[in-house]
Amino acid sequence: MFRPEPFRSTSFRVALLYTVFFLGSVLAILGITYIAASSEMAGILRSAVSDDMRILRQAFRAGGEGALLERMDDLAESASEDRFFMMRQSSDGAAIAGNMPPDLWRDGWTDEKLSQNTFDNSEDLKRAASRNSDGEVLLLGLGERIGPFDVMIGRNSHVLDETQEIILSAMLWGALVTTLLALVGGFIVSVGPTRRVDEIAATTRRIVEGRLDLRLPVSKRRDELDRLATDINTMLARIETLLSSLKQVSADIAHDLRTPLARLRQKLEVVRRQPRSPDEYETAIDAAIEESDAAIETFNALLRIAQIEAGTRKSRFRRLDLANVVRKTCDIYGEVAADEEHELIWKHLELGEIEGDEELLTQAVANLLENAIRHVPAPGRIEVAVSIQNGRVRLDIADDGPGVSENERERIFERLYRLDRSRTTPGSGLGLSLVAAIVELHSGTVEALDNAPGLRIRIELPTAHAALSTQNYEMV
Amino acid sequence: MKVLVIEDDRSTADYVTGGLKEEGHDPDHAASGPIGLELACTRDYDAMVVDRMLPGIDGLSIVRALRSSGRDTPVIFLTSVSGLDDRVEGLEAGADDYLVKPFAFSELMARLNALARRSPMRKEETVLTVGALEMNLIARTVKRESREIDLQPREFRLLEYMMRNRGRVLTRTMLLERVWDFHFDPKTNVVETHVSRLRGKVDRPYVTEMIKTIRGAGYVLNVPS
Repeated sequence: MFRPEPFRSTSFRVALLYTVFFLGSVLAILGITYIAASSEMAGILRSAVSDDMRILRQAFRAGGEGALLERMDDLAESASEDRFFMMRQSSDGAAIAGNMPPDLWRDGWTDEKLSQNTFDNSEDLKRAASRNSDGEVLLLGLGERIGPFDVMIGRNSHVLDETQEIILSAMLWGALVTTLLALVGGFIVSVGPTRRVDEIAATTRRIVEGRLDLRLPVSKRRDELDRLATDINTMLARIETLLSSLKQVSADIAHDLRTPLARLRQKLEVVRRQPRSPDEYETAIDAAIEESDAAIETFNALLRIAQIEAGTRKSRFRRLDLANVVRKTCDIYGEVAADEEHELIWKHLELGEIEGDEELLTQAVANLLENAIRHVPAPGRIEVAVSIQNGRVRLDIADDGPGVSENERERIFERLYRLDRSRTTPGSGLGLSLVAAIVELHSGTVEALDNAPGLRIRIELPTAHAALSTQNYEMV
Repeated sequence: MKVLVIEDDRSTADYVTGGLKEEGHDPDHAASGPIGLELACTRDYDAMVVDRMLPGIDGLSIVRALRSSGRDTPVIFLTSVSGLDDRVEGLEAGADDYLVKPFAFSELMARLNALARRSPMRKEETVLTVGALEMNLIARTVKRESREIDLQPREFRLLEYMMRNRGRVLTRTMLLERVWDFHFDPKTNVVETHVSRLRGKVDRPYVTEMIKTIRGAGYVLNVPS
């Protein structure tokens, strides 16, 4: 179900936003250029006009009417379709010189659009107008009274207008191209991530539908999406393990509890069938109580494991010496082992400071010792040692019994898992799961190893110092 | 013995009060926290059995209220969850003992007996005597008929607990908790092994047996009759 929607993606939105800002700055730059260029050009035109006017004024001041007329002649030579001048009598407005109609005179600066009918008799203005598409002339002019005359100097400011138009159209095209490029770029940039997000979404939907074995795609780029996907995959793996163990456990619990209940029911039914002696009733009731006790015990053990796994117990952690816990427990079990003709040896106990719960650790050690005592054929030898290995506190409980085959060694820590040969001996199959839960609570590891011959259970726990620095440790 | 049972669950309450009556005791029953607390404060009881979870006022608060009002009636807590922390919490609140439901009535009875008739602890008590058996708590020596018996530290602790509770049935679980500090059920004969070793030292050389096994219930230390 691959349907990319790059226009709705985050990267596209980012590209779009970026475009808006970029467009803004392009327009700002061009706008400033436009304003600066236009005012600069207008300034140049104006100063040329006022220079001409100043020369005329000075000429009149220095040499009167004659000098003024002389200068006007000079101007007449340079007159063209871009440069205009005009001189008239102030009194009656009669034209004296110039290439523009005398009635165009205005006092001071003027910036005027001249239409066709105003310059019928001016060749230069007509020529200027013909160059312009709309047949009009844009005149920048300065009119002044010099003595008895009205004088006007003008320029065709159409050039200025043209430049402004060029800059404006450049701005328009620039904005258009920028927008287009940004849109295309945004699309291209967002297609990749969008496709990957869509792949992730598609995979996620399939996982939701029950395919818990699927994992999110991870590319070799190691970018933020990959890191996210990797983390999610780790989470999925954990959830999958938990779910499958949960399924297994529910099935096992149902099976393990149905068996004693069925036996209980059978026994009760047998005594109920016909009248029996009080002794027989008593025996039957005792047997029934025993069966229900076994079931209750399994429940209790399961609840205890669940409780330990919930982790609330960590609030009771304190610093302790694992060797001390082991010594005390071995002291208790030494005689139990001796009664079963086993030899329990606990000579090598190094100081192993950890953060932990003494009651639970005692139970873990007791469970392991009892396992060995019960499953090793007499006379057996059970050796317990505590040592420091690679900065971790290691507890080894090794026996010389029949051991556990390699493919079963992992499974003995699973809930309710029992080796075939121990099916007949009493026990819930929860002792080692409890050990595993306790070790897990202490952020440690537990593994079953080949002791050649026999089984070696190895527990490694972080030392007190290391345990303190792990972030999941809670202070009391 | 007058016992107050504060328990909202009908069948557990009937189980406990019925059992107590059969044993010749005199139980009162309260089905909620407030009623229970009122009874506990107005009448004199030899012991109380209090459920942890109760409507109105919970068990912990009842015991706290009782203790702060100066009453030291022995209290046994009942709980339906095998709460690991519940036991510690309960004992900290002022309860004397703790039982996880479902429990055997014999277990509850043994614990009630041990609590209710507990003689006030005399601090100056340095010598325990049961018949010809004598334990010196300072010198940490044990004599029977003036002959010294050599005990391991844990055997000493076991015998001390039994002597302090002479004549009372002590269940396997009680011994595990008090003597070994085990709060779980071992799958091997921890108690049996140690009791039999102790018996070998205390009883075997003598004509009469002081430590007796009560089948299906526990052990009891008695003056030989």
